[in-house]
Amino acid sequence: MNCARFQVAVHEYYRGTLSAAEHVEVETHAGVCPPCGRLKATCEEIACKEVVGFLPEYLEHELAPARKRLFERHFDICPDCSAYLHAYRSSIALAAEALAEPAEAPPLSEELVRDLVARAKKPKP
Amino acid sequence: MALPPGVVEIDELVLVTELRAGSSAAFERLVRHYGPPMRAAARRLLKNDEDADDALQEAFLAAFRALATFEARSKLATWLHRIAVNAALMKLRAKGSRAQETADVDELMPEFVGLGVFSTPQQRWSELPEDPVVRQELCGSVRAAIDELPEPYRVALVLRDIEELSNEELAEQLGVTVNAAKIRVHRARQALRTLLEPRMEGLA
Repeated sequence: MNCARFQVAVHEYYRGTLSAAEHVEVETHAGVCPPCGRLKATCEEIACKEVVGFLPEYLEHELAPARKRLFERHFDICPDCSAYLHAYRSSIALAAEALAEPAEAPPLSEELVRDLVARAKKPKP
Repeated sequence: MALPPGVVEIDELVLVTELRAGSSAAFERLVRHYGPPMRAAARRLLKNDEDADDALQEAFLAAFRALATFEARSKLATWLHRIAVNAALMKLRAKGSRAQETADVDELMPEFVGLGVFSTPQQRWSELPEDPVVRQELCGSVRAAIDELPEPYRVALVLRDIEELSNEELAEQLGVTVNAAKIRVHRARQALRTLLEPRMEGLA
């Protein structure tokens, strides 16, 4: 296994979708290639499930500095979490854009204005 | 809160003083100036015009009654906006929307296998389209997706990400702990992400 293949296969390795032979190849390659060994070690630092569970805290800068660095290392090497983070952020931005007030909020109908003013003159006890 | 273009800035202090003196002309100015964005905020939560108008009525009555407590150092627009959101939430509660509290979004959450790895590779979304027509159409799909969320999630998302309430304010409004409020918003955003995914992959 070469390094390029390893970088793809390592994620499949943790998903459990590699053949038995490739599974062994990933472990062998990580054992003999220091950069790929470090990549595998980084994958093992924190699970995707945990990263996703704490996305709000990550985005709202509520993580302790060391934990924030751990998340950033994970985003650098994990295409799944990096794509998920991007989509999560895009969803928030799209929601805000889609529900933003129109540039010209339509004026209230004259009838509604009259009702509101009339009721204000006689406030409920 | 943005005011519609063409609406002249008004002197809040003068307006508040006149309102406190019971001027109905001042009240009408208040309604015309601040009413449209307040109604838009109520409509975002209530989703229909009639309920939004009712909430607006309640909001102005509440504002009128609470004028004495208004502190000049806060922005009148912000204060009124918050009152409109409160009125809309009260209306939602009155409509018995809590019946939907049990509705969940489990099937829209990501799935993990083994030691907590995504069960399937995640596709990277394309950048958002710049063409205004495509963008507007996309926003229409986003509104439809938000409307698909079970009400407790839709409301949490709107309050946190559109009305920009803090987690603490949201918790207070929803009557839950801060942690529960944060989880609800997170699940709402994740559910929205899943609902938008087919559309975003189509754009790639």
